[in-house]
Amino acid sequence: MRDRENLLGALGLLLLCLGSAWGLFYTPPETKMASVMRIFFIHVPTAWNALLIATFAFALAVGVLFKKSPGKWDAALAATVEVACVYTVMLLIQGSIWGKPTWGTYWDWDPRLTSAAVMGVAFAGVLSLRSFAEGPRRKALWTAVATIIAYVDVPIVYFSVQMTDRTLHQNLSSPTSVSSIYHWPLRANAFALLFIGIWLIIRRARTILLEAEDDAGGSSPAPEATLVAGVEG
Amino acid sequence: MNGTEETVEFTGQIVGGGGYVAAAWSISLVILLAYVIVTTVRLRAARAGKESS
Repeated sequence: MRDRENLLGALGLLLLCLGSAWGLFYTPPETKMASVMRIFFIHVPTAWNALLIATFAFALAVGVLFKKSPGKWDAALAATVEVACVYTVMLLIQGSIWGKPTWGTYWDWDPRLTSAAVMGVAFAGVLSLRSFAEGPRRKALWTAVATIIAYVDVPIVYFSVQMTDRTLHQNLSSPTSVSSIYHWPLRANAFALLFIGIWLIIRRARTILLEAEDDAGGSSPAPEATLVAGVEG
Repeated sequence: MNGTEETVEFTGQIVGGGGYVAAAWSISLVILLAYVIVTTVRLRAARAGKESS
C-alpha cells in the first residue's frame, strides 16, 4: 500500500518536471504577455486542483456528518482541508506575481482575487477551529460543519469572473480559449498537482490517525488510578 | 475622468518578465517542498511514537 502511494507521489513529481520543462522551455511565448504567460502552466493547474480538493473536502465533510464513527473520514477531511489551504496559498502568490507585469499591481480587491483569498482564510479557519475542539467526536463534527460553511465560497471563486465584467481577472481557461500548443504541458502539470495532492492527503491522513491513536492511548487513565480515585471519593 | 471610465487597449507585448516567471515557479515549488518535508517529518514522528508505545 505504501509502495503504491509513493508511486503516486513519484508519478506526480515526474509529471511536474515534464510539464514544467515543457511549459517553461519548449512552448512559444504568447502574443501579448510573451514569456510572462508561462506562469499560466503552474497557476491554472494549481487553481483547478485547489478547487477540486476543496470540493473533495466538502464531500468528506458531508460524509463525516453521516458516519457513526468518523475516525478515518475525519482524518481524511482534516488532511484534505490542509492540502487545499497549501494549494490556495500557492495560487494567491502565483496570481499576485503574474498580476504585477500584466495588470500593473500585485493585488486588487477584484471579485476573483478577493473570493480566492477568502477561500484560503476560510479553510485556514477550519484548521484553527479544529485545533481548539476537544475530543475526537467534537473535533470531527466542528471540522465537518466549518468545512461545509467554508465551501460556500468555492462556487463564488469559480463563477466570480462570469458574474461581473468589472474584474481584472481573465475569464475561465478552457481548451477553447487556449491555443492547442499549450494544452499538453497544462494537462501534465494539472495531473502532477492532482497526484501530489492525493499523495499528500494520504500521508497527512495517516499521520492524523496515528496521532489520534497516540492521544487516545495516552489520555485514558490507568485502571489502577481510576480504582484509587473511586475509593478515595 | 468626470465619472466616466476609460478603456485602454494594450496593443504591444510585455518585454522581459522572466524574473516574475522564475519567482512564481520557485516560490510554488518551495512551498510544496516545505509541506512535503513537514508532512514526512510528522509521519515519521507519529510512526516512531506508535512503535515505542
